[in-house]
Amino acid sequence: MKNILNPSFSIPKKTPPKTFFNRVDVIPVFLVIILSIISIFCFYSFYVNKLGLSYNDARSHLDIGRRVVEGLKPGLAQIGSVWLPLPHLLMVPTVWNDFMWHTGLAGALPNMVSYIATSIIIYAYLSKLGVRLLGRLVGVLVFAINLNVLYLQSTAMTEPLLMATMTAGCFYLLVWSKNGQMVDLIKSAAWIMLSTLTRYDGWFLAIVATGIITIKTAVTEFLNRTREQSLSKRLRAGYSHAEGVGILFMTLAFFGIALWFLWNLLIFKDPFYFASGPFSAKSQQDQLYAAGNLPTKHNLMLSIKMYTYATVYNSGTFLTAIGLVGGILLWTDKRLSWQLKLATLSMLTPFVFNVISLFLGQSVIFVQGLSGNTWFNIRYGILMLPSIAIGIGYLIDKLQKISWPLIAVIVLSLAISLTSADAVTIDDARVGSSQKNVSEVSGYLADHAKNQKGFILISVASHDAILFSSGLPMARYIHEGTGAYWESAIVAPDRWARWIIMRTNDENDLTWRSIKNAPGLVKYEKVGEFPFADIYKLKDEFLFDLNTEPVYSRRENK
Amino acid sequence: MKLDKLLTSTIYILVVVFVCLTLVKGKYNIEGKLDYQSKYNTTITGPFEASNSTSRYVLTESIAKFGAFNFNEDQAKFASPDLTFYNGKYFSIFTPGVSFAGVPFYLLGTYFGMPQFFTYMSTVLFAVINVILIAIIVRKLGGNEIAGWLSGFIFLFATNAIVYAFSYTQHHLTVVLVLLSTLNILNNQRSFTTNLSLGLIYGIGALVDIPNIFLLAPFIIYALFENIKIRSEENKYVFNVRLNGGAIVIGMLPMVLAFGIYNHELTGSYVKLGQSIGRVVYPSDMPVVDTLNAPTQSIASQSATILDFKSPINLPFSTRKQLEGLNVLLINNERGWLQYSPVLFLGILGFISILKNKGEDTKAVNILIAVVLINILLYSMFGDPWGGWAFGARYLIPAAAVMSVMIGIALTALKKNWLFIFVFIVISAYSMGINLLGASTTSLIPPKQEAESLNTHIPYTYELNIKYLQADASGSLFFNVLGGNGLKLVDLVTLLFIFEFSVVAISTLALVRNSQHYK
Repeated sequence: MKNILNPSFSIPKKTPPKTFFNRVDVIPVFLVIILSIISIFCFYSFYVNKLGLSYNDARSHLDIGRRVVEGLKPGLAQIGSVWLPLPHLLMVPTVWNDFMWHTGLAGALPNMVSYIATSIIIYAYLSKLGVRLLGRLVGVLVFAINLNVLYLQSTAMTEPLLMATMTAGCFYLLVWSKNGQMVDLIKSAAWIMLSTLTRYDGWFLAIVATGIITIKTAVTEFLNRTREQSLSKRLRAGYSHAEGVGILFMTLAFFGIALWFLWNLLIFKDPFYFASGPFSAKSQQDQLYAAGNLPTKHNLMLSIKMYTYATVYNSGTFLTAIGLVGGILLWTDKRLSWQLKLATLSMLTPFVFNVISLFLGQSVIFVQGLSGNTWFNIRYGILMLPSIAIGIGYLIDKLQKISWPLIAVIVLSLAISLTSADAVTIDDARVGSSQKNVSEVSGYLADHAKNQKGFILISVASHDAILFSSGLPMARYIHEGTGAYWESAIVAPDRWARWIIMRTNDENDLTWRSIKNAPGLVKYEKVGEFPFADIYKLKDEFLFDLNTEPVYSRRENK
Repeated sequence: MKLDKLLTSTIYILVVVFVCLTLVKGKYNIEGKLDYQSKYNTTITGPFEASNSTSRYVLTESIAKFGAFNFNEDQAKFASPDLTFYNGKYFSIFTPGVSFAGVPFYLLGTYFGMPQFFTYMSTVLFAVINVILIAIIVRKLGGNEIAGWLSGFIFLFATNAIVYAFSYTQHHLTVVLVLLSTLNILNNQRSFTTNLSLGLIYGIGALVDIPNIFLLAPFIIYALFENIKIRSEENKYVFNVRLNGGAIVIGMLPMVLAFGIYNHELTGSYVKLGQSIGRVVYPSDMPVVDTLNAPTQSIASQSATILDFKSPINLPFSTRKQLEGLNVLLINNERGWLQYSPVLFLGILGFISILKNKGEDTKAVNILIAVVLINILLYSMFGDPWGGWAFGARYLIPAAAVMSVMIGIALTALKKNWLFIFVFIVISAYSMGINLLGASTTSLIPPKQEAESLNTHIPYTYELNIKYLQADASGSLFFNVLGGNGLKLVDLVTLLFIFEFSVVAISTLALVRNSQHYK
């Protein structure tokens, strides 16, 4: 009876044959497979729910990529200056295809790869810190099952790519701190350079990483010198070593930044155009400040609070708290070298950068309940998630005796987040200030302009989402990036534009600002008035004089 | 030695019963009869002051008197707004476990003409059982005997457990189940009987309160894994599977069946719960907008562009609410442990002590940590972490019981540390004082947002209880009998506080002098 109720069986231990799987760590391989399935499933799920393109900015990113390959004046210059170029350049190989453009897949694809890459880097980062398999897997789980990350990787937003490049840069910085191999420093510089071409957060990382590298090199060299040498000699040796290594690192890490200055100089005749131009973040924040909607400016405590809330709402309060505990354990662990601990500080740069940006009024975040009743840019908080995941992985490894209850509540927290479909980034995208309901205008264009000839005059700086949502080819639009077409249209709109989309009386709308005094404007009738834009249509009696086909050759339109 | 133990146990139990009896709710009406026995009197400070008690009570009454699960019009009015209306029937929004458990007490009470009093005494009984169970568990975990009784005492009198010992709610019965489960897993032999009983406890747990499914899950998971052993030998892995682990499932079945029948009787479906249908206020059958449970993303309703993005699984939890929930439950002055029962935080030292001393044998401790964390985490994600109008963090009473167990371990391990002992006595006194206020007056403290929206301002902390205390407004039967003879409520509360404090102080000193060390 006992044997029936208590069956026992055994499996013989076999020496596994020498195969591919014996030679490599198979866990990351399996992770890539699983994460790829999750990534594709999530993209599909958000696409079906029509959420993948909810962010106004996501549509703008896709349009920028598309304009490089299609439109009245295609070319690299369409990259513009508002956003850094890497996300748009990565879209170019696929965004020419209408399906890839209109589903958002062209923009999501690099993010999906970034999502998988960041997960694997977290695994590798924890491995370098000496964390065992369980801790590493929990770290990956915390990142990869976060609904905000899963949503953002399904869109054309830039945060997933930034997380991947920054985390990779920090990872190689850690590896270099551990083994001192120059090749790892160069890899770190390369990834950080890519991050500087993704978002401005990367620029701050480049500065911080340079600081970490020079401090580590100088102090290590100083300590390595024998005490018989004079103090000044040791200091000099430390300095000269740090100078050499620092310059080596900066040459590559800051290369992207230098290119961006050059780009702005060549295209916009001002190396600082991205920072001071009419469509720069600063310009937008100045307007918010003037309207009293930038409460964090010059308020350090509120800036810290705002970004802390953004972090907590993206990652979950409980997970953020235990991630912090893990971080404290890491930085107080006597078994880790100070060099290693110093390198891990680079993972905190998103927090410091965002707080500084908010304090200086260069950035804006709205947290519902903290600054009015809406969300805006709440997704910036997601950038701390890799650090939180690493902290949690480390915690699980250090507190082995209670690792299972911790894992149980981590899983519970993640499961409830998924089952309650609770993601602030989705709310921000669909009902917060980051969304823009342009369906009336784009719907009008789709209905009236699709089967009729004629161009549409519009400013992409103000209304890119309309271009995307209308479903019309980019070549139907005359915008500020179309060179001679734009120059001609703002002088004589009635000769070039059958429809004009603009915010009447809004000086921020480039179209309105450019044509408000144009004599031809009287030939239009206002056929629609909506919160984000008005629609003007050329009266039928003036159609005879309208250009409806592209007339400028590439050469003429330079 | 055994006689000593028996004597100690008897003294502590008598002390606990004595304090409880002085605080148990009731009063005599002008006819000289015990009130509340036949009339639905919802006077504040009385046993029927909160609808989470009345809704459960009328279900007990309905079963005992009419053999029905649904309510008549009077009962529905009395249970409102913890009420559901479906298929033409009014019934309780709560799961029926507490009401089922109260039926024998109600019937016994009917025999003596005091159905309400006896029914509510079921909760008092569970509270006393909890004190005993905590003392036993502390001993089983290697704690000192006196520390065990002190732990039980702290749980009941230094937390809001005492406030809810005189209500007809799920809290104390849930704690009984958590503690019985703990004892069950402390029994290293996973026999058919232990597995069966654990399954039964889990089934009862689900019947008592839905979140118990999560709260008791660590015990079940542990027990299931304990029935599978993997051993590595030189050339093979040996798997031992105890099929009597299946007894856990068998144990659950009767209660699952009972739950199904109850649901089917009311909703026509074995799995459709009252909670999933929603609240109504009698006599309307229109669902009430529950402001506390309303989603925080209220701007969603303002936009015409909302796209439908709902999870197919509908749980009343949201990770978005964690920040506010953790603040309410642990820190702020509306409900937080820090304000109402700071002594519980000393339990963390108990966990640290036990983890340091128990070496690798920390499975049971792991489960207790999981119970505390799950309890806190779940309700931090709940739409209403305040527990409506309530006293202290009532949803955390199970976690408070586990933390109290750990206080016993901390007391045993650190009894020679005078700083710890001093801190323990001081914050125990504070915690007992605060909770005595609640137990002697009312458990109905509004959340801040509701208090501030009232026309007449009332405090949203235990300040409200102080006002009741000053006004001699108490539900205590003992006070209401003797109050007419010039006894002031503040005098009674002071006497009770001195008594409770003396018990803790004397016990602590006895513990310090006791030679029994942590094992």
